Amino acid sequence: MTADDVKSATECGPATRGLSRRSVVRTAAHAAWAVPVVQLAASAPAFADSTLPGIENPTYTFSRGGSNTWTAAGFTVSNDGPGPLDAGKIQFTAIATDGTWSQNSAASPWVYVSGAGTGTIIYSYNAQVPVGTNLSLNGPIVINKSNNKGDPTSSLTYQA
Amino acid sequence: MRVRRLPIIDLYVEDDACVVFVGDQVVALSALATQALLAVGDEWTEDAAVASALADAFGPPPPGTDLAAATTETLMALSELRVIEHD
Repeated sequence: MTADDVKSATECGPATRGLSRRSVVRTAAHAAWAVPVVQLAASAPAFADSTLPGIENPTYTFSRGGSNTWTAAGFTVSNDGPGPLDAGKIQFTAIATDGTWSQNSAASPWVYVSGAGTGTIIYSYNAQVPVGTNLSLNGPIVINKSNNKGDPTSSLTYQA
Repeated sequence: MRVRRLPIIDLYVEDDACVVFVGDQVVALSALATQALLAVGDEWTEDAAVASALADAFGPPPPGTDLAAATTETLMALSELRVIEHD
């Protein structure tokens, strides 16, 4: 496995937040010196350890709706081949830096995989991805968080 | 001490913090550690340069905390995570 095996999550679309982490840090800069280096560590899903070379330009949004509900939507990718990507090869992962996740809803063909009741919840795209550009992967995926603390992060990963 | 970045599978940076996928771990780093990591490139970087970057970002550490020592502690923690290495 190499650094090129998984597309950078920074390629994903913008995420909207109700509270900026920057605002928290900036108002308490001295406090930053006292925060432990590692705030959370989790075993990476084995699923996320490689990628399909033909998949490009993944985009989506991950934003907070009302209360503690978070929505991932607008999933698109391009697949420049040489062939379709099998069902179940794309995963969406959300990581809560505080609190735990629970399922709300996932539009077909997204299916829940694991992580309800923990800080890392995973969904899988259970349909084939044909060759093409800017392909919609449907959605949304809606998940609930146990509290409104911290700034969750997310990623879209895929396996060859 | 000099440090340089090791291969990272994935790095997601948002605002002042980041999540890094390295080895078989996904690790959320504090703002301080994120700034330190971003100050370290693929080439060897002096720890003093990292300390300067941290001071620029967060201001001087509070009384009783030494800038160089705090920087070293942060870099060593990142080294233990195999995100960076030091000589």
